[in-house]
Amino acid sequence: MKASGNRLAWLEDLPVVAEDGTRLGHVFEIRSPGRAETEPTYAERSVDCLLCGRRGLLERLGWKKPDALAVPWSSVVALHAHAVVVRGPVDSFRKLDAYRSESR
Amino acid sequence: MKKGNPTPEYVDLYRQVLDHALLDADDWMCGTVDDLEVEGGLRRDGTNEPLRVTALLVGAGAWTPRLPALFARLLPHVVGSQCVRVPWSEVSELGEQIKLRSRAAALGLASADRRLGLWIAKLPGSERGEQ
Repeated sequence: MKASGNRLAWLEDLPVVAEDGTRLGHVFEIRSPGRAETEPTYAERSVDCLLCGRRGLLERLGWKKPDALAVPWSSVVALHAHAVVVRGPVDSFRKLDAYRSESR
Repeated sequence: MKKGNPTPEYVDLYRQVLDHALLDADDWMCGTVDDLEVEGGLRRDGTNEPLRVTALLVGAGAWTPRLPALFARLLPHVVGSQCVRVPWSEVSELGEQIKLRSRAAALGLASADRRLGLWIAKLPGSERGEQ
């Protein structure tokens, strides 16, 4: 991990841009495959994708589902203090509804 | 019979973990998750390793960097920069609260609360204090 050490919270709300400069929105969720712990537990959890998109007032209030893109972690090519750069065009990322965990 | 929603096969780390309360093995509140420690990710040579969350971070040293820059610079002088690392293997349950396997004292959590509790116990009028 670069840009801000080995922590995860700083990625929240960071703009996501493709290599060609197209904006994909902001990071609003980080997804880890596997059910929430109830036993057996995990020694660590992997991160498989970032959910990003444009979030307006209705989405922030929870009245509307965000139109999110699921960006696999493997597509991230650079982490800057003010942006996450990802490989590939916007069309190559799936909408959240179509998203299935990479590990499955 | 009406079927409930199946448990999702994923965890949303910001929504389900970050800023959630921690309960120790005795169900005592012992802080909130202020940040998550990760390993892997992008390396200096440009390779991208799988990213793994390895620990929960609790304490002022974990939440002050999340504040706007001015506060992030000033507040550590006031509230300190103590940060307790709780390995993810200690997490036994993820829900409304996050339950841990061990007691808070064993993990170094809620130490200020315990010190304050001992001090309050000495006050006249408290259960163990002088009358």
